[in-house]
Amino acid sequence: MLDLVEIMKTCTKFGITHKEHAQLSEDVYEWCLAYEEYYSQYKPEQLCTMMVALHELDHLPDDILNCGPPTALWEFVTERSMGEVVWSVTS
Amino acid sequence: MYKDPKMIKLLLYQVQCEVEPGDIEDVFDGKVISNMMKKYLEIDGVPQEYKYGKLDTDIFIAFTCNGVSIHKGLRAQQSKTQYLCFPLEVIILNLPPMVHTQNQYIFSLGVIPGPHKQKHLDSFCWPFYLECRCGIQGIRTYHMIMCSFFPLHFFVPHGFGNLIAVIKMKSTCGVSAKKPCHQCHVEGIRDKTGIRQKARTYYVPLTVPGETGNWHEKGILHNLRTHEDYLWMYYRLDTAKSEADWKKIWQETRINQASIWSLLPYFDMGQAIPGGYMHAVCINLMRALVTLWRGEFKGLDAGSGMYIIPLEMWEAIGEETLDSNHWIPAAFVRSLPNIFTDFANFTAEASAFWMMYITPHVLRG
Repeated sequence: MLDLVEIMKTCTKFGITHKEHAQLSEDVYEWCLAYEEYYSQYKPEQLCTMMVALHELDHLPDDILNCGPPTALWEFVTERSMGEVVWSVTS
Repeated sequence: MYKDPKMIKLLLYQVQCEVEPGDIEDVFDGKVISNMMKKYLEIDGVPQEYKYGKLDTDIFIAFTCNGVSIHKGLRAQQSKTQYLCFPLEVIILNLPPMVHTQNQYIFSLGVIPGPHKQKHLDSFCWPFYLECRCGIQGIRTYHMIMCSFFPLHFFVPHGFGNLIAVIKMKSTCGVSAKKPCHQCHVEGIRDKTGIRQKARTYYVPLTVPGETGNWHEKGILHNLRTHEDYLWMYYRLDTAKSEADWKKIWQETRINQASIWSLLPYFDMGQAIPGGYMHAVCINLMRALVTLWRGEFKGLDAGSGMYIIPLEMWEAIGEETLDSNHWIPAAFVRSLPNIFTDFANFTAEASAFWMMYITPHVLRG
């Protein structure tokens, strides 16, 4: 399960080489299958563990290929400026 | 921007830097922009003689938006109101990747006021869209270093945000649609056991549960939605003859209306909007994993799995996490709360750091 650590470390790098990307896509696919085996256990009752967020992880390698590393386009930017908006509200 | 020599130097970074082919170091190494740069510019469907990004002064920007509730915590309870506003921002991709996410280089387009979520984001983006049209044609600008006028082109090839913002941008439905993913054609499955009341959500397992001869759906990951798919769906919605027809198409595609971004000649609806890494992985996935390990995930027990960590161990993990604050420099991460007692205060940054650098040690056993 802790393969996720490696996945996240690769994702937060500033530059991803081609080799790392190939490794990443393999890791992500295997991690998702392992997640499914552990938590959803292929049972209908446990279906709610398979959220859309997990499915977005499936698409992560494609996103990196299309849009560059996640560090270049991520929502920390938005969240930070949202914080400024919230702080600037006074009565 | 072209009045400040410092800024001009920063903007030229993209032209000057050299990346080994195959490496992905910036948005410019992504397929979307590199494909775009091979194409000729189009104005009203008429191809022009120069390509996108041919001039060094061409600027690429990315659009982002997100909803934020102004009253939080105690104040929200006191005022008993929820006021949701929606800031719109752009970032400049030409700047070096370490710089373009910094606060002083983010340009705000405005804030959509609340108190409710806006129904139609595109109508708020209309002025920006008109500016983008001007950006394609070129705006007469003065260059400080060259001391002359030049046509400034700017393009918006990317948009990003969390899941809700992406849904708004693409006018699709979220998890209540039968095809909940906006990047591929995967069909979701509903929780039909009836244990939980909220059974309207669709889930997307890779393996269909409860069937004999389970099969892995690796194929679904390659059946991606393309730009042409989106255009075809928009076209069908626009040309529906009656309301009943429209509703039928809507039920099938779950797209509400055509998105304004598809009107830009270079915008790729299928690939240009990535899923939000921060929300998907650092917040939602982390939260799910920790609640699963605590055995509190939507009232589930472990079934045949062995993944629940007992309470006493969680106490120890929480204390160790709190204790580690003394030894981590502030430049790495903010101070971590106790993960056992104070998990609600874990931010995305803290969760990501905890998962990457602390988990391998505290969960060793």
